[in-house]
Amino acid sequence: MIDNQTKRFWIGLARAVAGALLFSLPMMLTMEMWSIGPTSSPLQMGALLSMTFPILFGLAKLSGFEEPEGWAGTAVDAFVAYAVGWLTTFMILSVFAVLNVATMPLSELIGVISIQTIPASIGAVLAASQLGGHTDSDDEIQTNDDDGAHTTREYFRELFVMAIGALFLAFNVAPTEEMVLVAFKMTAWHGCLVMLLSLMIMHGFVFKVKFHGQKPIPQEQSAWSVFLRFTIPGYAIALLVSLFCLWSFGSTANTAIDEVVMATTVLGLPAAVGASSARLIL
Amino acid sequence: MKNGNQSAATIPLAECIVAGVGLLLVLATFGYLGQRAMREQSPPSFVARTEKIIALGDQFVAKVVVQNIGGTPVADLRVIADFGEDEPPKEVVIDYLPSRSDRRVGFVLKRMPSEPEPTFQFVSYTEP
Repeated sequence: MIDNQTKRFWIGLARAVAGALLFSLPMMLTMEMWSIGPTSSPLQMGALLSMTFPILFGLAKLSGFEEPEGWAGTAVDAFVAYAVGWLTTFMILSVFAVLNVATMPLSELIGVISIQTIPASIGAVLAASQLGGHTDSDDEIQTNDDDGAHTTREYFRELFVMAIGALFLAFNVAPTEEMVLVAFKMTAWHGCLVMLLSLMIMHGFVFKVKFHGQKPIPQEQSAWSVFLRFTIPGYAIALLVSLFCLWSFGSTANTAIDEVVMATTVLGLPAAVGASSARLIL
Repeated sequence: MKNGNQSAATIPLAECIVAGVGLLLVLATFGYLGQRAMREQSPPSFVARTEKIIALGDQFVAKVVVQNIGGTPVADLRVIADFGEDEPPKEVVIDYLPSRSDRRVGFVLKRMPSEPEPTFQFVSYTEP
C-alpha cells in the first residue's frame, strides 16, 4: 500500500521528468550542444556545474516538486532534480542515437550529458510550479504580491528569478552558430538599438502589457523608480548571464572585447525576455 | 517593510546599491558600444605566425595563430601555408574570425619543415 506522501513523491517525480523534457528537448536537438560538453575546458565545465547546484537549490526552495522540509529537504529536491535531469538526458539522447554507450568513451558521454543536464534539471525542479497545482504557500506569496508586499528578501528573490529566466533562454540560443553570426553582422549602432529594445521589452513584459501575473506599479512609486530598481538590474543580470554563457560555451576565446560586448548584447535580448517572463511565471 | 508604504526615501539601501551597480553596468555597455559606433571600422587585415611545431606519431603538426588585425569580422577565411619544397601547400578554412581576434589552426606535415616560418597566403573570405 502506497501512502500519500510516497504517492505525492512519485507524481512529483513524473512531473519532474515532464518538466525536464519540456525545458531541454530543444537543446537536446541542437547539434552544437553535443560537442560543447566534450570540448569544453575543465574550468568552463566546472563553472557551469558548480553554478547549477545553487540554482537548483534556490529553485527547489521556490518551487520544489515535493514539499521541502528545511534545508535538507530542499537539498534533496535539488539533487533529485539533477538526477532526473541526468537520466532524462541520457534516455532521450540514447534514443536519438546521439549517445552510444558501446562506442563512446566515458569522458565524452559524461561531457555530453553534463551540459544537457543543466536545462533538464532546471526544468525538472520547475515542474511542480508550472505543471502541478499551486500550494498554499504559493497562494500566500501571490496574495502578498497582490497587496504589493515587498521586502528586501522579496527583492532579491525577484532578481534570482530573473537570473534563472535569463539563464534558461540564453542557454537555449548561446551555443548556436547563429548567435555569433548575428553579432558579426551588426554594427555598434545595432548593438545600442538591441539594448534599448531589450530594456523596453523587459519593462513592458512585466509592468505594461497586462500579462497574467504582471506586477502592478505601486501608486507611491514612480515608474522611473521601478525601472531603475527592477528593469535595470534585471537587464544587467541578463547581460552578465549572457556573458557567462558565451564564456562557458567557448565563444569568447581569443576574441576581442568589441566582439564579446556585441555578442553579449545580442544574447542579452533573449536573456532579457527570459528574465522578464520568469518574473511573470514563477 | 511593505511596498504599499514604501516611498522613494524608504527604499532599502541594498536595493539602491544593486540598482546603482546595474545602472553602471548598463551605461558602461551603452558607452562602449557608442564610442565603437563613432569609430571608423577599418577593413579586415590578416597576419599569421607559427606558434610551435610538435611531433604527432611519425608526422608533425605546425600550430599556427591567424589574426585579424583589422576592424571588421570575416567568415570562411581560406589560408594557404607553404612550408617549403618538401611539403605540398596546406590549406585551412576558418569559419569565423572576428576583428582584432585570433584563431589557432594546425597543419599536419609529413616531415619537419625546411623553412622555419612558412609563407602564408590569405586567399579569400566572405562577409558574415
